[in-house]
Amino acid sequence: MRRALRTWWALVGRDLRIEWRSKEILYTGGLFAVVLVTLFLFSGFQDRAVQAQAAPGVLWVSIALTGTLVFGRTFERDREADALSGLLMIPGIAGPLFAAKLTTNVLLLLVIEALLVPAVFLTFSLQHVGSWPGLMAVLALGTLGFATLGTVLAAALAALRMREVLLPLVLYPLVIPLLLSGVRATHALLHPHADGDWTDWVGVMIAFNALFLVLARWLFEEAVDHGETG
Amino acid sequence: MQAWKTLERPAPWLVGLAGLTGVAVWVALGLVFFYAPSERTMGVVQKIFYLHVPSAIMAYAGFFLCCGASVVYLLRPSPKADVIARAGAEVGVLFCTVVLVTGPLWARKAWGTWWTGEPRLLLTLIMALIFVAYLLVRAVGGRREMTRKVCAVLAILGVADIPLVRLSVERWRGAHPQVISGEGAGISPEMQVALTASFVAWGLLFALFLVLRIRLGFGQEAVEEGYRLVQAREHAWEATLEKRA
Repeated sequence: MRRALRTWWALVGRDLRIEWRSKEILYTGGLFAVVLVTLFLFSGFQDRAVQAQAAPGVLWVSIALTGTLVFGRTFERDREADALSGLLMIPGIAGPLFAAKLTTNVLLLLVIEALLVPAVFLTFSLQHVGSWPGLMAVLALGTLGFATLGTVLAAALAALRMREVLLPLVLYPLVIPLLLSGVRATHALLHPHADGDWTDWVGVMIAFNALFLVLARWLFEEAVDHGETG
Repeated sequence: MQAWKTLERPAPWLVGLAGLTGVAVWVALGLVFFYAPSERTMGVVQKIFYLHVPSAIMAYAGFFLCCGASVVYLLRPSPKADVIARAGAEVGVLFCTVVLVTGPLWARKAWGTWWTGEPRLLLTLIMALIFVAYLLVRAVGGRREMTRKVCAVLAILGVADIPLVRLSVERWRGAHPQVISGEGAGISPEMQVALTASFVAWGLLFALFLVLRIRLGFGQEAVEEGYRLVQAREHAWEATLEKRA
C-alpha cells in the first residue's frame, strides 16, 4: 500500500512537473475554454432571463468539450516518448498509474474551470449564486466523474487510430447522466427559488462517481494491458 | 478448420430456425393486421406498436448479451466470447434502429409530436449512441487483441450506464405515467394475442440474426487463422531459401 502510494505520488509529480515546464495543456485548454465561451456569446442568447437559463448548460458543455482535450493529451505525452510501455513493465503499476492519471486530469481540469466559471459568469451576466460551496462541490463531483471515465477511455483508445475523434464519441454518451445532473444542480443553485433542491442531484452524481470509479479501476488494467504491441 | 466447415453447409437446425422464423413473422403480421382490432383514436398507426415494443426488448437483449460476453472475454479471453459480444452489439443496434425509426412515426400520431423528452426515448437514444460508437471503434481498430479488449471495456461501461441514465432522466422529466405498455389495461384480448405473436416472431428473428452473425464471426476468425498460418509458412520458406543462397 505504501509502495503504491509512493508510486502514485511519483507519477503525479512527474506529470505535473512536465506540465509546469511546458504548460501546453493549461494554455491550450484554457484558451480553448475562453474561445468556446466567446462562441456562445454569438449563440443569440440576448434576453437576461434566457441567458440565466442557458448558462448552466453552456458551462457544462464547455467543461465536457475542454475535458476531452485534456484527457487525450495526458496519455498522448506518454505514448509519444514511448514512456508508457516502459511504465507498464513495472509490476502492479495499473492501480497507481490509473490514480495518478486521474489525479492529473482532475487537477488540470479544475484549474481550467477556475478560468471557465468566471468567464461564463461574466458572459452571461450572472450575479447570484445560492451557495458557493455548493457550486464548488457540484463542479468537483462532476469533474471527478468525468475525469474517471475520460481517463479509462483515453487509456483504452491510446493505441488506436483516430483516437482524438473516437474519445468524444464514446465518452459523451456515457457521461450524459453526470452532465445532466451537473446542469440541473447548477441551475438549482443559480435559481434558488425556481425548481428543486440542488442536493437532489448530488446523490445522482455520487452514485455515478462510485459506480464508475470501481469499474474504471478494474477496466483500466485491461485497457492498458495491450501496451504498445497492438 | 471446424469453424470453416460449418460455414459451407448450414446445419439442419439452422435451416429449421430460419423456416420457423419465416412462418412466425408472417403469422404475427397476419394477426396484427387482420385479427387485432384497430385502435379507436390512433387507427392503423397503432399497429406500429407490435413492431416497436418487441424490437425495443430485443435491442436491450442484444446490448446485455454484448456486455455479458465482454465480461467473459475480459475474465477469460477467447475469440468466441468476442464474436458473441460483437454479434450482440450489431443485432442490438439493428433492432434499436427499428425502435428509433418507428417511435417517432407513432409519436407523431399519438402525441402530436415527432420527439418528446420522455425518459424511455432518451435512454434508448443514448444506448444507441453508445453502441454505434462501440461498432465504430471496432471498425477502426480491426480484429486485433487490443481492439477486442477496448470494446469489451466499452460494452461494460455502456450497460453499467443504463440505470444511471434512467435515474437522471426520470428525475429530470418527472416520473411519467406508463405510456401504452404491453401489460395491464388499455389492450384488448385480441391485441394481446397479436402482441404475444409479435414477441415470438421478433424473438425468433433476433435469435436467427444472432446465430447467423456469430457463425459469420467464427468464419472470419477461421479465415484469419488460416491466413496467419499461410503467412508463417511463407516466412519459413523464405528463411530456408535465404539459408540455401
